[in-house]
Amino acid sequence: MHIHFLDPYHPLPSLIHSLDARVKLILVVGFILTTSLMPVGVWAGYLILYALLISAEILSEVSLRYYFSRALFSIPFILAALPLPFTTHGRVLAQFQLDGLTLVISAEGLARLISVALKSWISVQAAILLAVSTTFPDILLAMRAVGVPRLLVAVFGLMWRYLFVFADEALRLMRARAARSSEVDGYRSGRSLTWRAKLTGGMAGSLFLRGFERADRVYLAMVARGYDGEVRSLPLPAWKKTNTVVVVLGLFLYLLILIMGSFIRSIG
Amino acid sequence: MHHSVEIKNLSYRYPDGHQALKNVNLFIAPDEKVALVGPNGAGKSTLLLHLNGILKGDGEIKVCGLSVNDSKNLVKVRAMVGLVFQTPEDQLFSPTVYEDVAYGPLYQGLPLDEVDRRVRDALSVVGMQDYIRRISHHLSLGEKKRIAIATVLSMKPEVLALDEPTSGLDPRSRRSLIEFLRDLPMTMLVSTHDMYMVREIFPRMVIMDNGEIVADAETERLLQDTDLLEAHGLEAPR
Repeated sequence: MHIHFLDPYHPLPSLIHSLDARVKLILVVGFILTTSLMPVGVWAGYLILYALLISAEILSEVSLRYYFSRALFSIPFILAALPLPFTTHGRVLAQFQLDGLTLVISAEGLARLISVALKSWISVQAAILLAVSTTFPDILLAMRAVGVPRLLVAVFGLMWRYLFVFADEALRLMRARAARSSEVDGYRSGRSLTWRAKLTGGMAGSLFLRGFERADRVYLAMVARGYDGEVRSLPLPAWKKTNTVVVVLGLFLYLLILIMGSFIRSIG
Repeated sequence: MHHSVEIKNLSYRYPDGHQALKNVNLFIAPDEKVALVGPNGAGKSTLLLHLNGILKGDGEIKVCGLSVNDSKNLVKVRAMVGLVFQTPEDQLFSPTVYEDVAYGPLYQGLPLDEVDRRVRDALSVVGMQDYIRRISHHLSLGEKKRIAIATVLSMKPEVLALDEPTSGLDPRSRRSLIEFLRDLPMTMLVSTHDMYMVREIFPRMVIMDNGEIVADAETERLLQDTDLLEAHGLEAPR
């Protein structure tokens, strides 16, 4: 009875899977950076970036549907950008009256909103591509290789390790609650919403308390095996020449796309 | 008269593809006490989780004549089966002992004085009446295990389904739990590795291995068959 579905890694023999994790990390972070630097309203630029990403997704042999469903995570970011059409000054597209308040939708604002939405949609999918094609330990290794502080990498590693333990624990708690949530003839079961909410709050609290205690035990187990605050790690695997070629080509391509985007922006 | 528990051709596959139960058939008469034994990963806990519909496999399960497959019956069945999880940490999800034992009857919507009576009765059955105001978090494992059983007794179930009730207990807590289970007049299905307890209080024993029931007979007879026990990773009490 364990939760496996949280782990997005798909073990497949694709070209994308076989790339070095460090190469993938650099290219994905570079891609996300390129996407966020792409000027507002340069639709051709977004199209090229997305086409590039989709090609990589197809090469990874994981179904596109999986990417799209997971990418729904980007919706909260888009929500945050929703006020943009109303707050940006520019050419007026529409105007409403609301209780004496005048709301104006500007063309520039709308273009910004759509740009933000596209950027988050594309960036989230790029991150998913990395997670789908690389095991988490490999991603950690790549982070260390590109100079993310070791302590931070160790924290990510522990978080990943115990996320599943934590999710399992929450699942078992909810099962225990379901097992005792019953009904007898003659009474209305379930009580009030506040009662149930209070109970759920208590469960969340006890989960937190246990997480806290477990952290203590894990730390003691680390100390017992000689942990002194310094994170030591195994040496990194050898770096191949082809890796350098792929990284340089990729980053060069991003640069070209960015230059093209700025050019279109300046003439448009 | 209906069986307390009737399971016909039950199979279950976990979402990750692992086949946990294969064609399980089990009938338990009212007031019968049955031990469920077998190696780790045999499917014992999975089977117990089916008794009140936490997991839903293919096949037919009836508890006290009610079909568990019918989702309308689910909440009724949960009042009839007291399922106690292996780890009391999972079972005890409220801050205090009182709140935890009261959860079942409170959820059922019983009046508060009745709930209070149920809590006191259930705690006194397990001999923990003095713990009523205690904080669950601070109890010992033996105390938690007893209170976990009280949390389902307060619902007045017909069937008690326990998952490894004696695991991790010190000899004295174990002894008192065994005596308590022996004297409790209820239908029981108890998953365990404690073969001494099986011999002592369960006249009937069901051996599971690899998701299947491989033997279902009188305990004394199965305990004689050392080849069978060994083949399924078990050991007869000396």
